[in-house]
Amino acid sequence: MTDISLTDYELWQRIIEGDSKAWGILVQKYQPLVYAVSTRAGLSMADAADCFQQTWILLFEHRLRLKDPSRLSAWLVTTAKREAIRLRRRADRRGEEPDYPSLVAPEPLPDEELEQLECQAQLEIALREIDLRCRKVLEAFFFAPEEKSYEEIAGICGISVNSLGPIRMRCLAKLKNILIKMGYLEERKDDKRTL
Amino acid sequence: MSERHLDRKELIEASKKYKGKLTGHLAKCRECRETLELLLKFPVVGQLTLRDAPAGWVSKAMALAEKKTALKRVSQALAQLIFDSWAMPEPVGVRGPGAIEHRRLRFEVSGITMDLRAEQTKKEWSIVARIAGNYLAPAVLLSDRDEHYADEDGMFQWVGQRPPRHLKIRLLDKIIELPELVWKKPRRK
Repeated sequence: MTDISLTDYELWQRIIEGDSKAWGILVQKYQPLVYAVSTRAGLSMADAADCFQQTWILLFEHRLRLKDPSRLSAWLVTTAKREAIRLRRRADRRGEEPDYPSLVAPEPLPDEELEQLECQAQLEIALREIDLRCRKVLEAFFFAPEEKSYEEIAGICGISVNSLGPIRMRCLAKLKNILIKMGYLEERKDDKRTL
Repeated sequence: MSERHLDRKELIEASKKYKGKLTGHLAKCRECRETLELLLKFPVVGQLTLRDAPAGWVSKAMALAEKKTALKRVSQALAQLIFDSWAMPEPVGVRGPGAIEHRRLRFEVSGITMDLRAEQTKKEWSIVARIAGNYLAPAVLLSDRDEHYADEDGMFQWVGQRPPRHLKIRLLDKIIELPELVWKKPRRK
């Protein structure tokens, strides 16, 4: 579990002060995101590993020049994509084929898909901080590939169907608080009928 | 209010069609509204969770900060306040309640000086600061939770609702912490 009391900005302050533990927390936090971008860009596994490492090296080297540490996930996505493009061109020049040509995208991910990956990573980071029951309820709702009925979700989570609605509501509120604390979601001051 | 909450498919549809106004069940049901809000910001429903990178890749990335050659440890220093205009009597003509509130400060540490001028207008504070001396650019001034970048002459400028309390200067090779600033003007007899 990452330290929720630290936002990316606060983590960053520690990193530039030389705190290697903070760097480790940051890598753990965003490694699935960088991995997703590196492995979905049509690279061989060796190049995907290079793309992954190079992204972290660049972040580390730029640590004193990063302008907005609160947009760290976007920085990582953009840098990993650029690295993927560079490595892809290098592989093309050499006439190399990816290891699994049928499984990978012919082009590095389009921006829309990258934004989705970033959203997904942020949501998953927040979900890691929530209690197990809430995580189960929200994961069943958000991440299950097929829609599940209230009865099915209640069964998976071991709670009654009647209490699922209020529990889901409380879990959503908890999730939102975590997302706000982490700086991934802006706090809404009112609860009007328009969002 | 209709008894039945919107199911996932209906909520996804609603998030795709949402144009700023809510109607029907969504206008009345806070639970569905909360869910919709989340879906608008995080349109990732039905996607499988992201997978972890292989452990070896992760530990190699984590080790970057531990390599002595890579981590040029940034030194830290605490600057000293060497001038504060609020500690001096104000000149004749600017005393009294009608005067614009302003304060000038100077900090110094190992050959680097930082001059700061804070001026209060009706609703906000206008801050101008300048770093001078032997320092390695780029210079970034961290003011509470904001960052300000120096121009070519080492000048920082910003406007805020409150004057800064905690200031740090981040240079390429060091971080200079400034003493905490208290903005309660000392009373004079």
